[in-house]
Amino acid sequence: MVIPKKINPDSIKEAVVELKYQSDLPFELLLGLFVNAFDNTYTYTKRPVKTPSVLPGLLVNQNNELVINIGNQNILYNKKISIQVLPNAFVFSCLNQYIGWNDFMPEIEKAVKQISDSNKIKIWTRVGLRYITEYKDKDLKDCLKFSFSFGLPDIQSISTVFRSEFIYNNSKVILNLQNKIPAINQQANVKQPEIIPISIIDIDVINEPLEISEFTAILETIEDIHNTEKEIFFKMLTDDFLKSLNPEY
Amino acid sequence: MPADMPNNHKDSFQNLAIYAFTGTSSTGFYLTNTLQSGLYSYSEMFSNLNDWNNTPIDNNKKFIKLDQSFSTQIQQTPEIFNGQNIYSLKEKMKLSTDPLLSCVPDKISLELTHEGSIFYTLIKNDIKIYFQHFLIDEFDDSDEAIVSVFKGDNNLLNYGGSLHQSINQLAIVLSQNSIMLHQFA
Repeated sequence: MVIPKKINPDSIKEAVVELKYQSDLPFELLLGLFVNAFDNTYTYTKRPVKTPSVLPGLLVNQNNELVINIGNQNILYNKKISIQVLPNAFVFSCLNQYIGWNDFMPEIEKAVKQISDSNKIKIWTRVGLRYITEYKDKDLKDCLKFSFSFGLPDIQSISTVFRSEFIYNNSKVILNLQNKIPAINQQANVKQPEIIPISIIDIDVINEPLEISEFTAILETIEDIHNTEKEIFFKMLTDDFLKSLNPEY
Repeated sequence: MPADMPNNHKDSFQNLAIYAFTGTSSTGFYLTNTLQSGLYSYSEMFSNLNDWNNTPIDNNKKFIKLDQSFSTQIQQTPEIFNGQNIYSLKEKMKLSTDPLLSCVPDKISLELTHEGSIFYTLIKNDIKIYFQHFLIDEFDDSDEAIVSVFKGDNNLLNYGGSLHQSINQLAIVLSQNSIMLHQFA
């Protein structure tokens, strides 16, 4: 199958690249060294770690008790992407809408170069690439070569969730399909929100365990899993649905 | 496992036990297949399974937008917080930003006012929230806030008090509408 270079609309809700690493230094030292390694087009900010969720029906901390923050999420961002800096990983994602692989990958490359040049990474141990595509008011049965059926043929599912884990092109793949999940859709200038079915194709391609120390090798691995990601996505689509996405080859 | 169980049933029983242990149908299916194929040892199988964690998704987009918006407005209107430490103002902003974001609003924006406050507008489902956080320039004084909540034309809440109390009141009203809000983060 010839894989398209681009589709329009892409309907990509989320695109995330995670690179896990090992270093000899503790994270409290690494954080400063990493932030210092980035050029001044990146802004650093930190976000307080969220408190544990509250059970429905319970009111929160009415006695004015002191709540102590136990840590922060450390974030770097520029005009196109954000990078979450974690004790064992960097998580890259687009700042707003998905900017397309031709723009996203050079941003990742630029950031990884600056991280690598700090010489604080011993090895890269895992690469993950996850795309979440969302379709409003679409039935995945009409879009995918997949039948959401089981051993009770009389039953018509209102909504369906499917998860599969498998190996493809030597990568681990976690595939999540959610078909016609009810969601609230609030439109501007309309007082009452409407409930519409949302369908999601979530493909997570992971390469691990890795022991990569070279900058070029980690970039090649990211490109490889991006190709795997595209292959899985486009192979799942029906011909008619793919045509409706205006593919460019 | 009963001693008189036929061998093929013993295999199934063993698989079933592991299936139950793993707790997810897809993982259970994978285990069953690999067990029957005899390709993996138990330790290899578990080392494979333990690492099947999803790549985390990013939940900081709205936070970064507010962070950017706050920084830009502070640069454009320095007279609002004349002489105050910008780092400390940004940290104070997060005291209101993070709890407000915890209700996962559909839309959220902020505006700095000449009264020295951050005025947030949030939309969540059919609920509109107006939250004004006054950044008090005193070390040991609690910040103050005013909050109004509307559902359509119905006014669900008007409250003024300390930042902490205002967020508590907001959390109470939202929980009555099945929306959860974390308190101070």
